[in-house]
Amino acid sequence: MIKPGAQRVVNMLGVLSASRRQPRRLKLCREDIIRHKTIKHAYQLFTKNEQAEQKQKLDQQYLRIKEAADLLQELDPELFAATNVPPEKKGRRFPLELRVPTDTPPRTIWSSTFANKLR
Amino acid sequence: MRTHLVRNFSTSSALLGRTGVSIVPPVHHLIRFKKSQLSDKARPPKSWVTSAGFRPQITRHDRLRQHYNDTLASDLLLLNYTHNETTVEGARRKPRAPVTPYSVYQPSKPLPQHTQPTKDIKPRTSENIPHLERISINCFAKPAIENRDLAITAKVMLQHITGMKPRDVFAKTNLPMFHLRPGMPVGAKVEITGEAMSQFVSTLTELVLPRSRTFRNISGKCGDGNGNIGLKLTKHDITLFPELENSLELWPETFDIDLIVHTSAQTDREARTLLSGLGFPVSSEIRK
Amino acid sequence: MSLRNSSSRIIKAIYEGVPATGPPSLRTRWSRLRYKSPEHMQPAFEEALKIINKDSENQKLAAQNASSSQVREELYAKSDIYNPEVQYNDFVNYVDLSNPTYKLLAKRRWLRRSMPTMMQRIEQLHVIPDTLPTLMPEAETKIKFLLPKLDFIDPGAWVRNDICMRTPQISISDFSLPAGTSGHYTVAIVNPDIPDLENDSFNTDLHFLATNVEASLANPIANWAKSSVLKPYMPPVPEKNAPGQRMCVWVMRQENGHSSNLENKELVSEFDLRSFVSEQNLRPVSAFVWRSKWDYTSPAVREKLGLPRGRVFYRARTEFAEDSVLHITERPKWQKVDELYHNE
Repeated sequence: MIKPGAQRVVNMLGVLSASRRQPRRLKLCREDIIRHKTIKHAYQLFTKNEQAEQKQKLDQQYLRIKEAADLLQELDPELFAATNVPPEKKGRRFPLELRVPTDTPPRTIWSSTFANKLR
Repeated sequence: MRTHLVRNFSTSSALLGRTGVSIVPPVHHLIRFKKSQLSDKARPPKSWVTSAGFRPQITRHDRLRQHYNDTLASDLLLLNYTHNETTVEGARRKPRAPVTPYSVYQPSKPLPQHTQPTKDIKPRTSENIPHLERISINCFAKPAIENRDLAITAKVMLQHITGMKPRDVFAKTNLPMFHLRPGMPVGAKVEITGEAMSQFVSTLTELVLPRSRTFRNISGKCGDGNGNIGLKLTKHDITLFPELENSLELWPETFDIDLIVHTSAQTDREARTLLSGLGFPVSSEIRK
Repeated sequence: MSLRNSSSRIIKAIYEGVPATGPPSLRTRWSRLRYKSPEHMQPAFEEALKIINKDSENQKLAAQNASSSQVREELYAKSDIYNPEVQYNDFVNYVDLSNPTYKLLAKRRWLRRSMPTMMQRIEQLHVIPDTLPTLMPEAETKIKFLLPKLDFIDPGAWVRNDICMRTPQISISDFSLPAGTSGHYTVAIVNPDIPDLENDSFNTDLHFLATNVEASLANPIANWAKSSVLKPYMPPVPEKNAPGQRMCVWVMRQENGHSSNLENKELVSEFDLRSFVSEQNLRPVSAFVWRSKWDYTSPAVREKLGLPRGRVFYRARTEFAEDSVLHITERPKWQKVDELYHNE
């Protein structure tokens, strides 16, 4: 007989080595292997395109930021000096109310009249 | 495998007194390959569905990553932008000026005492927007010194809250006062990336930290200087993870854990801004 | 592109999902009934096919505007690689190699396994630089001695003397040529391991030389009858106790195509492969090597070829053969001398 405390440890060890009970190899027929490869490659293409799009968007944004800063420097050096914060003085925060979007959002999505009373 | 179209019988290396060709056979290596590639036992890569090591990689929608791509990336680019930035060189050993012919062989000038070498800080562009890289979790279970079984408990606890398989941590020091000997299992550690990391961060920021009674905001001056932020969770916070919350009677003990959030940010300030966007409560900046 | 349908039922199962009766590629009814296909694959597969077809169309458009014919062929080949039908035909090796897509798949397979193996063997056995300085492989060479139950041999293998007595069948698959075209090659077999006792060294012997050998990916087997054989095949005849001999096969592409200059070339007694290659504007594209040493079939081979009995080498080199045998200590002298003369 195993003591109840020891039994708990045995159960925990069983949880840790659960991966060994997984099947060794997926047994797929030729048709399904080719179908899988097709889906996999299409997904790779999809993510590649998505990433390229994202990169292009950010690159464009960067160029626009640069252009705008150049223009501001030319037009109004004082205003430029006020906006162009050096890195060692930066450190903005995103609001704590910013949420990662979900499939099940709250009834009121965004409280426009919110004020943090604690502050 | 790499192919070289031109064979390098370098003439400049011969002038420098080197052989100029490989003298270790095979010397005619226009084609490079790994020896394991030729073996009969060469296995298919794990990414192939026919391989025994195949595991499905992308199994669910990654909310956190999508939030980063849709909202945070462009905001961070704007927040971190400084006009006409130049590279700020980090502290490192520099070669001496060649005053005499002998100074070529002298060791480079050491850094001032008590200073660590640091990395260069490059201008912030759309190429280097900070992102979350990985989270390493370390759990030192102090009661495991008395009762070795508790190291297993710590391991299972980490596996439950991260979904990844942790590794054991063994003691390295000999402290007879605390009955600690080298080689004793004293805890567990795990590094999580990708889907597991996103899931963990979501759970942490949405379910655990808001309900925690002990956790205060991430400090406005924490970080290791390279954009990696550390935080601690107490054993009471751990019980708030939904994986443990519903079966608390099965857990004799829970343990404190240390998290290190590794980001690709170049400074801690940027890393803190990123974490605030991911939903971590972060205090405003404190001047050091 | 016209794709040959190897099995319409399997192709249908690929496009429409495995039917309730089980996958048609499985042979027995029992295994077909037992098989369970992963669930919910069909909608994902249909979406995937849309993405792949769109990408394929884009690549074909890019191929039309390509600058050179080589780039065009490559883009055209890449555009169809992930077509499920192409994948299936490649899986069962039911392919038309004059098609650029199948050519690219075959080339990738060659680059993955056979090509590095060939390079490893010719480097380890010092075929380069003993016969030619180096090689940048562009073609696959496979060799077979036509005997029942004998497939293509591995590069570097030891081959029994009576097996390599007959003229080898050589298959040349050149992946650097445009799809659907054929090239002209010169094939030489040289043996750099002929013992040269006078100079205490080794000589190189030419065993076979054929020029204007035509081969394409679709018909890779060299037809000696249609090419001009300058030197007919001479099998290796190694002698007892001499080191093994490397039979180095070199396949060289004739950059100017069919050449009558080569056809009428007269071979001098001392054949030098290096000068021959540079003189005739040949480009070595592939190599192969097999090895042979004295074995129990060697005397019979010599007899068939009408050659005299081979020499037997001993550890000590002496003026008279009898004296060399004295260095073997285990057997009495009469037995050693007997062995010397009557071994073969």
